[in-house]
Amino acid sequence: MKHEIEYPNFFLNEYSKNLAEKYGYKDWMISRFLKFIPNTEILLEYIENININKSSDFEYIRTNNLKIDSEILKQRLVEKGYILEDTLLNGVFRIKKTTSADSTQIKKTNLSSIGSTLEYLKGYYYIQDLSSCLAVDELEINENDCITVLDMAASPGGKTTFIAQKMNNKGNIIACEPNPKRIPSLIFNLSRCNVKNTSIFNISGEDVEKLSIKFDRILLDAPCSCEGILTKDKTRKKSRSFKDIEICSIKQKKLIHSAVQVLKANGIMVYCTCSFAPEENEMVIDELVRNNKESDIEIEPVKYGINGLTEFANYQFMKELKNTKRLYPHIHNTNGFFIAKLRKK
Amino acid sequence: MFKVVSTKEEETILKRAFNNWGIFEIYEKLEIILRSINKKSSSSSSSENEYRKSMQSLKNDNFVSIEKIPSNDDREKTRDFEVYICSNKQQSELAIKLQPMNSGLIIGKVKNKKFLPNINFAELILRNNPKLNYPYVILENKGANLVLYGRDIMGNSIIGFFREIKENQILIILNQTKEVIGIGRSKYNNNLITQKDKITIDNIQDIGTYYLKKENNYMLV
Repeated sequence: MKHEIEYPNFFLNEYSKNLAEKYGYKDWMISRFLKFIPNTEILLEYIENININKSSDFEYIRTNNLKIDSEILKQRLVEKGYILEDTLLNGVFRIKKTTSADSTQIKKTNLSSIGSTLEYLKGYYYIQDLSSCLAVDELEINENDCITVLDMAASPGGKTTFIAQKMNNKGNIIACEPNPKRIPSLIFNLSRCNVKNTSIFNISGEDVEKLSIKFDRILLDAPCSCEGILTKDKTRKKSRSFKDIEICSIKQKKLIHSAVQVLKANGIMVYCTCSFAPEENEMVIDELVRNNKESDIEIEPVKYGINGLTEFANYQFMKELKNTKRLYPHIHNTNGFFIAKLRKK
Repeated sequence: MFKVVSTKEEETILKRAFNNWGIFEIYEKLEIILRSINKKSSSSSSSENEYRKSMQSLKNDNFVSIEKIPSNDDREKTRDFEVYICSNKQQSELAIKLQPMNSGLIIGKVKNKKFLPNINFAELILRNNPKLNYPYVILENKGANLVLYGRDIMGNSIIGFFREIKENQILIILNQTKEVIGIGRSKYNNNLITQKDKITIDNIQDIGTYYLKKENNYMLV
């Protein structure tokens, strides 16, 4: 079954129009959000507060175990005055913002930005949202396996470096990056994090078949409309049209189709986006699985988040789509994110 | 073009460099590949040119020798190459077969038959030869912080150093906790290296330079 995307003149009502006006969004975005984002108004208020304060309530760092032990890193940063909270992933810490009650601490310690410490420059950690770390975690990489992993849209290298870390610099990573201007930042981050096992190709993920390599694991962090990072970029409230979602969706379907062709039997693929749009998420997975019955692709449960949608507007997705997960800023303190885990039988 | 270490000359240059820095015994254990940098840019595709252009600014920050870009004629004449270490044989073979944009970790380059180490090589030395029997200096905190902003090193910020430093010698810059923060070139020998109020070491590469010179919008994703 092929889904045709309709332009969203549906769902518009007074409530969504009022919210759109109040928070400065396009009407169509809000009318859609109301259909699938839990407590939409709380999310809008949450984003508004972050935009006003120009400071996100959540910032995470991931220890680079190729260079330092996470407890030693934590101790070093705590000694400098940072407040680190453990998260559900080992070695990933939330940088806690001080409240007005303990603002004296900021003055006392004169903290520099978490992106300008010696430890950061040394590559002891990577500033990376928890949602991105969770996506890589779903790849089930064991450091003792000598496997071949594909990162289909690699720059600037946050997830690539985490994959390398999970592989303990063994095996092979193939990192694709179609934009040559983004390759230097990828190379730099791999170098900063002491990653040895990665080869970078200046090709689109769609062309990965040309390399004639089969992969045990594939990460497809697909280019998307980035609705999920509204907390970091308020221009996206108005800068995107529904056409952009449609364009992204087409691209994502091509990419995921190419990925399946190069995935080994029993291999795992993680598909993720930082978009809320079902057209970029559940719809992409639904169409892939329905159209590739011969590949026998299973949608496996993702550990964290809210279940993926099984219906949206007049679309009915496969019931297994509930195994995918959605993360929301106002619920999970992460970027808006979607994660699907697929296994090729 | 990525290639294996294929000539006696290339092998000798690299082995000598590893020996000079006291890590000769790890040379055979590493999977080393080379990439020639004497290629005519006129034969490059447009995307390669874009990449090269972007890389140029990065390389100027990350390599020991900051020199003028060689002309195509110069490139034809020289046999300079970058030195990379791969994780395993499969990776190096793949790099040679498929010629990716980058593979493995760059540890320096060979120019005019001399090996010029970068910070990754310095890290390799420190991990494999903690005895510090090679050219190094240790800086006090303030001096170490200034190095991260690209500043050269004043003699009075040096609190420890190798006892046989020669003039115009490449050395590793360490902070007080003995972490690599840069690579420098001595302006004086060890007798004069701690002179007060004088720059005694030029900073030729440090871990902070890239961030100061290049605002990178992609870093936080």
